[in-house]
Amino acid sequence: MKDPDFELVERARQGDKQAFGKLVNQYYEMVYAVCYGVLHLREAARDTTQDVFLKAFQEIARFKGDSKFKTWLYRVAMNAAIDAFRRRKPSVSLDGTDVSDDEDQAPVIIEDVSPGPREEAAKLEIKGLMKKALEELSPEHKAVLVLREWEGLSYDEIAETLQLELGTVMSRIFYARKKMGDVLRGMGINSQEAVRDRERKK
Amino acid sequence: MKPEPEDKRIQQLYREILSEGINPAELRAEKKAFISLYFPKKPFFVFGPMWTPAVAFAVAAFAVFVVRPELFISPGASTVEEAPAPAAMTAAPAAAPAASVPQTAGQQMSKNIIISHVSSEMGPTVVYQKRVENVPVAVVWVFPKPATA
Repeated sequence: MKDPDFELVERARQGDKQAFGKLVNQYYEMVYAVCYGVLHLREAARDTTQDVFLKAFQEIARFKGDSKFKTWLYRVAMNAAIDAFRRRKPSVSLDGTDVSDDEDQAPVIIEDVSPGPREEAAKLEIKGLMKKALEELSPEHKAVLVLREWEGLSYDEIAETLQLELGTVMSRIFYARKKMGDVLRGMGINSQEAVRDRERKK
Repeated sequence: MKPEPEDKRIQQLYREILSEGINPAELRAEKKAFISLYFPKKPFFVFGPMWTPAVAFAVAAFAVFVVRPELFISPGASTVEEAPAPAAMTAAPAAAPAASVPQTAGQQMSKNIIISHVSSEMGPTVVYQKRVENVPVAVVWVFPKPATA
């Protein structure tokens, strides 16, 4: 199937900045989401997003069109985000609390001190713990997770994008979900409760 | 394959967590600033290779022929030198030309005067007038021979 971005990419390959600007306009949010999914810091995600596009413009002449431009851009973004993750200081979590090694091993202690309704408090608690669980994942696990759960890519697409074996993609997603599922189970939320919660929302 | 309820719950929570760090309005503003800095739109005139010369020619033509033709076209300021008068013309003509007929080309081609009609009923004076729209007129007059008494 023909790449929908083919014409813009061809123009960009010839140095047409305006054409590449249209590609930036189209994919900026996607690249940002992918970077944020790995880095979990807004500033870093923004800087990395912009680096990705600058690098992509420099490298686009080498893009042979073997895959879609979008797939290629995902790959560039993922590699940049993982590099940025490794370069940054460890480790500030999404909610600003530090995650130390001791905390990694500590059992989850749930203390309901919220004055609000119990469900709201529990949900906030879950989110906080989920964020910590996410922080504990490696950037490679975060990468597959964001492509699967946020971008909605299939396993095959993720494998093609990240140039991984399908089994590797599946095992990484399984591991990431298990890590987050442990939080839910630790909170005493089983599958039935999750279903009931969702039904209540509807 | 239908996702397990727990998987759906995880996906829902994950998306909620991620969306907290994604502010669409902020992203749009950042994107706009980034594009205008590094990948700006080109000015209108350089979209195609022929636009600039074509538009430049059109503007020049408009200025020359429509807006201020007098700035560019001055028939009265001709560089053609006046031919020396023949010997026969050195004698004063018996009959002077009509008073309304101008004496020299320089006097005749005043910028502010448009001659719509000139005639002479005396002597052998011939006046030829040409006027095309608002283009300054060129007037040629000929005295073929001195009038005889």
